[in-house]
Amino acid sequence: MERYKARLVAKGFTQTYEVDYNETFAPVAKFTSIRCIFALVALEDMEMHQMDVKTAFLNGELEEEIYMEQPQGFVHQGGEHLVCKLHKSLYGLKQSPGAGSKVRYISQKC
Amino acid sequence: MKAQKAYRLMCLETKRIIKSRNVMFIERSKEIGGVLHPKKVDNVVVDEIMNKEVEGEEPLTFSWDTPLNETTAEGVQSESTPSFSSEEELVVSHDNPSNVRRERPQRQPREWPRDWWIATKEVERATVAFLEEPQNIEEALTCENSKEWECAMQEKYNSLMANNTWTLVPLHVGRKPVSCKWVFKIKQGVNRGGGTLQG
Repeated sequence: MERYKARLVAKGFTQTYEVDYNETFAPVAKFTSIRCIFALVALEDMEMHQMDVKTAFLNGELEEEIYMEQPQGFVHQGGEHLVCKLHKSLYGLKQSPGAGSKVRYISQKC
Repeated sequence: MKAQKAYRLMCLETKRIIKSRNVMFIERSKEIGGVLHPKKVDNVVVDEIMNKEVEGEEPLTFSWDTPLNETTAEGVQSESTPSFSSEEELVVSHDNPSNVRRERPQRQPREWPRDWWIATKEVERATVAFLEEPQNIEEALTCENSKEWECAMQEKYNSLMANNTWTLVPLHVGRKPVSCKWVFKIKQGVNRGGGTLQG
């Protein structure tokens, strides 16, 4: 089966340091930390669950003010002079990988 | 044949030759000579002129592969085409140091020298998909699948809106807006693992 996918990416390479972004950061779990947890689980005879927060990347709140041009093909009629003020991160932004880590993880019943 | 850096792979279904430098080989496979890394089909060139040339020679090129098919063809092959040993491999590679492909010695005189590998189905699909993927929005809206692409874009746009990704405001004085771009992908096998979520 084939699926057609479109994705909107910001051209983050045009962002200027200290103007559009300050810190770039990609949180990665250290393997020793994971092993630590494994050890704890084994020691205390606990159970382990793995979770994935879907689209955490796109749910990251942005701290900086970022303006983006309106996406091609979806320019608001009568509002051509307007720009998008981003609230959530998008693929391609300098601060996206860092913003994802600040997502508030709220437990939800699925 | 002119020396070139890319490997040539043939899709048996479409009879098309793909040229790519990103090739992964399956060594012990009977019929599969080479596999293009499905995730790296960026520098693929399809050479359709090769079609006719290849089709006529197909049976020969298969017999060329048989030494690998050890159980059935061992006895017969040992006379006409001695089975391939590591020693021979060394000799060949010394003879042709420039030849990246390390071709096996050709013993049948009239055989058309095979300079391509057979691509797997995955490669085939990845290549076809890659060739169908528009590189920008203009291509997406003018190609034959424009309906699907438009739909995909609308879907994405709606989800961005639902997610409250941005609000439209007049540009802050002195600021320059970041530009953005649509990227189009054809995803194969939705239920297969490894598919990344696209928001």
